[in-house]
Amino acid sequence: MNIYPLLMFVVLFIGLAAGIQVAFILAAVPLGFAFFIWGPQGMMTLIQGAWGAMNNFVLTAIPMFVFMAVLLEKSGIVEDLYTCFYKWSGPLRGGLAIATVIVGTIIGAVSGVVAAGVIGLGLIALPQMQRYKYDRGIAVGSVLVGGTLGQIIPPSTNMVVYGAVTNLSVGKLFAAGVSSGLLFSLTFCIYILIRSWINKDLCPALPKEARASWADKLISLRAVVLPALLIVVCMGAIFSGAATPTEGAAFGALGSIVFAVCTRRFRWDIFQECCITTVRVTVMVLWMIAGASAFSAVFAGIGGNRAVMEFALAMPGGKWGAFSASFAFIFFLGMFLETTAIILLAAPIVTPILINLGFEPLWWGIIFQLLLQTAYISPPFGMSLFYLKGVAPPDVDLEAIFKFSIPWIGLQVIAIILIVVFPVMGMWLPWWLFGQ
Amino acid sequence: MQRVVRLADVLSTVCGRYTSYLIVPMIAVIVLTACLRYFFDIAVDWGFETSLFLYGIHGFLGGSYVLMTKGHICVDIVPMHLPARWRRYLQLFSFGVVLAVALIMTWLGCIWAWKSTMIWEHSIHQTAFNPPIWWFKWVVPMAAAMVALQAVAEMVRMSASASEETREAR
Repeated sequence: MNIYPLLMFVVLFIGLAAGIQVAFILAAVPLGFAFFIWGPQGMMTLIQGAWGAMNNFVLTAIPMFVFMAVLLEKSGIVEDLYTCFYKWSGPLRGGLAIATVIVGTIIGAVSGVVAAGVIGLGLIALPQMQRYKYDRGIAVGSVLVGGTLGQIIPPSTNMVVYGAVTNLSVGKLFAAGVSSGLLFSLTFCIYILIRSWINKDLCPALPKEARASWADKLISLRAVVLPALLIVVCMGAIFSGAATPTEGAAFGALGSIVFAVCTRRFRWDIFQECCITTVRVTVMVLWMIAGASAFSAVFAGIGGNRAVMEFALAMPGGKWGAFSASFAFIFFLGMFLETTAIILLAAPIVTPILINLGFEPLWWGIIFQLLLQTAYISPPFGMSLFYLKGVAPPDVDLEAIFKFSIPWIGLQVIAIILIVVFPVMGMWLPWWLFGQ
Repeated sequence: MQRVVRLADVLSTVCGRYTSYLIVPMIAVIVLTACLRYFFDIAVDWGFETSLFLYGIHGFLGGSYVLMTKGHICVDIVPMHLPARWRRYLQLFSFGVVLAVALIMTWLGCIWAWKSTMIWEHSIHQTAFNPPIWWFKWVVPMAAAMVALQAVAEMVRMSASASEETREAR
């Protein structure tokens, strides 16, 4: 039996556990294995990986989506939207938490970066819910899941990476993201409604004097106009096929500049900060892709993919056995690894197998993305948990956040299983737009 | 040694800062290309490759800046629970890995880019623009060399702060 592929993963995980930067351990492992198995020439795979990443037009969407997200966040879009939905949520029990989820959904539709949503909502929505004596679990949980919706509701940088790695159309993935993201969002709202309906002190309705008048409510809708326009133009262009995702991203980035200028929040220092954040994310992703392409090239070259394939075919339960194993594998990786790294490691290995077994590529792609969504909020290393800890009041410690996240992880798993069993629940939009 | 650290930091900061502005021409080129094509029916043949060039430079040359500002993500579960001294050894080792990868990448990258330069290689993307790309290949070894320099700087900085701590402890 060929043990090199297994050994590659073992060395990789030891390196990761030792705290070596993901991008560099991903590059170091294939360099080592290629050198010992194929000699110095084999190490060129790393250069090929880097060159491939530099020449992938799909990936150029990433810096622009990041720039758009950061600039919109810095120009106060979360605050604007929350003020609006807060006014509309008045007499409803659990209204503030639902407003949080809805704002998260809309932010998700203009931003491909999770940090922007979680941090923004953590700063703005969490204090409000605390002031009106909301249950901690609901308050923290709604910020966590609402803010993280940016990962599944397009534009999403992770979908761009997934599309680039597996050659799946990013536009179709985006469309599936809308429909399944809405299902997630709806699930969260129903959960909040049920919980606050059963226990009326859990999330009290706003006191009469804090409710907004109808005039106020209508005026506050102004805040929704610009983001809505941005969503319609950017996503509409991609879905109608008029623009590639990269072009949509460029228009979105331009739109975010227009938004910042229109709301009189465009400042030079903010712009500089956005540029720096953008280059940081782009660099992190690009170096990781370079390393990961080398990793998967060497892994495939020494027979790893075949070994995994044989393993998958030997699973009890046929193709659903292989599916469940992949599902569990990604869920497990999600507890420890950053989401881009999960895509880069798992997608080239798992995706071709499942497609060979006859699963629909787009459907599996969206299940993969939904699992990453869960990865963001699953302890001990979900990124959203840490983003939230960074902005939460000091008496909310990390352990409490871990505990609060658990029912929401359960909800997400239920929603994913719903899409597995009834694909139409998550796939109606791409099926309607592009045919089944 | 302090000079190396200073040099690396300045180089990385300047490089990171200026490459970060490349996002603006990137947006401009893509928006312009799309507008010309969609509204005026003018096909721009240089848009595609120009944006790839901008993206590649943007994403690679910022590498050492991101290393300096701790932007490359890592999983620090195990190191977090170790005593300070062991954590430092692990970190030194981790920068050692970065240095090794960056040096190999510089060396192989130079050979690879040199071969391309010798034949004045042009684009493989088969557009009418067909720009030379041999210079673009030099981005890889350049970025890797800067990462290597920055890794050395980080190691020096860490051992300097470590020896200071032991002095204070005495």
